[in-house]
Amino acid sequence: MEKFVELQTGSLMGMAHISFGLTLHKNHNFSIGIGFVPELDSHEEMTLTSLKYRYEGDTRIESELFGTSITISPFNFGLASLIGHQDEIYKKSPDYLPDGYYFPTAKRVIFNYQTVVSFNSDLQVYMDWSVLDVGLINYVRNFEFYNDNYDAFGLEGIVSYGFGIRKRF
Amino acid sequence: MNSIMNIVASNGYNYLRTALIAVATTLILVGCDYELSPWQTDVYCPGQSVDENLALIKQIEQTKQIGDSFKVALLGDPQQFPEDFDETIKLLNTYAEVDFIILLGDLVETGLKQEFEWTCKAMNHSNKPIIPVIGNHDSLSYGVDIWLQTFGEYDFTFSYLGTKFVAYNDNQYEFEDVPDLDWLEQASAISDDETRLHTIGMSHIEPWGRAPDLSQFLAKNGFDQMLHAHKHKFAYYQREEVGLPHFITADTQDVKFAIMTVTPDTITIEQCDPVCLPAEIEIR
Repeated sequence: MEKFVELQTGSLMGMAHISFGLTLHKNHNFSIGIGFVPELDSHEEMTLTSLKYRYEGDTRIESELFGTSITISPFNFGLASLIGHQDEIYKKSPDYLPDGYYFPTAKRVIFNYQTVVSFNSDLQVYMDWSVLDVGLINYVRNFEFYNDNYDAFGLEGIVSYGFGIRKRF
Repeated sequence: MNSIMNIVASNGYNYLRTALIAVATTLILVGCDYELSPWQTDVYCPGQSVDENLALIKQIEQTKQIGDSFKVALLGDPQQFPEDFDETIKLLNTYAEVDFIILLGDLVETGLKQEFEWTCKAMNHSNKPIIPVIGNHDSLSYGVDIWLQTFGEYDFTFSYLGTKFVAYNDNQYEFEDVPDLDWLEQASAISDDETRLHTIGMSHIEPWGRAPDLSQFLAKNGFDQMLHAHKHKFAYYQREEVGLPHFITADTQDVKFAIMTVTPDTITIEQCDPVCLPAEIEIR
């Protein structure tokens, strides 16, 4: 069972998000993580926690970059449960709301796709594209709207990107 | 399989170049955002603040005179269905007799930046000014901050051809001390030099909760028509002992809206699904 640590920025997971994980049965990766967003004009200071799963496809492209052998793993699909920790959003419906009136505003599900480049057996960098739960639902329900108004089959309207580095042990 | 892998290995640089080009092209094409979390507040929604839309309404008003009749489209609850909202907007673009649109709240479902941007994308297809009123779903997450930054104040008024429109926040789960009755009283008061034909109130939710007698309060303060959404279905009623008509517009799913016609003496409403029929008032 391989272990790994990854550090990611963006893609809805915070300015920095560090995760610790295990690889099970070669393709299945599970991790837990903690992220942070400092106070910004566009964001309250916030801590994030996550539980992630990533399926790593078997396709590999061997190549060389500046004299170093690299392996590209182009097909990685994942799912993350993300929780924001901040006073204005809630993980459990407050008492003043009727039961089930709203979904907890601090909990989100994120779907993602990664392209991973391995520099050796231990070190990987990846690009991550993610879609929020409500983005995926709306995209399916309103495909024509997104396709007509955003590029790349409407994906421009729902996708966010980020980068990460992963070290395997 | 081996032969395929041999080809892959022997053409490594080509594959690398192809992969990098594919990534770069995807980035350019997708043009997606680098977003730190779902809870960002920097909504891109050019030209849709209440102030900007009121400036456009002022320009339309200058082509008319007090006492002229006018029509307003009433929309509500477009959340989760930007496509139908967009179609509704585009249909209303063909209604030359409609001067502006009142959007009675719940522009989004969970108060997130991305959701506001999708709704704004459709709003920007309108050839008419759109006046938004805050809904309970708009206030979730950081929606209250997004609303202030993107659209403006929660409570506001404007006048059009002698009719005063009063928008107020009545989302009682999300805000304390709403509706602001003192503000409503002041906002509806007629000044000495003012010619007032009608006073129309607008809130996402009809009178409820902490203000059960709000309809009576509003009637006492001179309101003669109320407009709401929230229930996703058309309804039109007045309480027998109060007499103030409350119209609730449907959501925009499958293209639904209402048209309000204001003359110096009357206010009438048609509910459109999408064919328009007169709304009949129910006495409760």
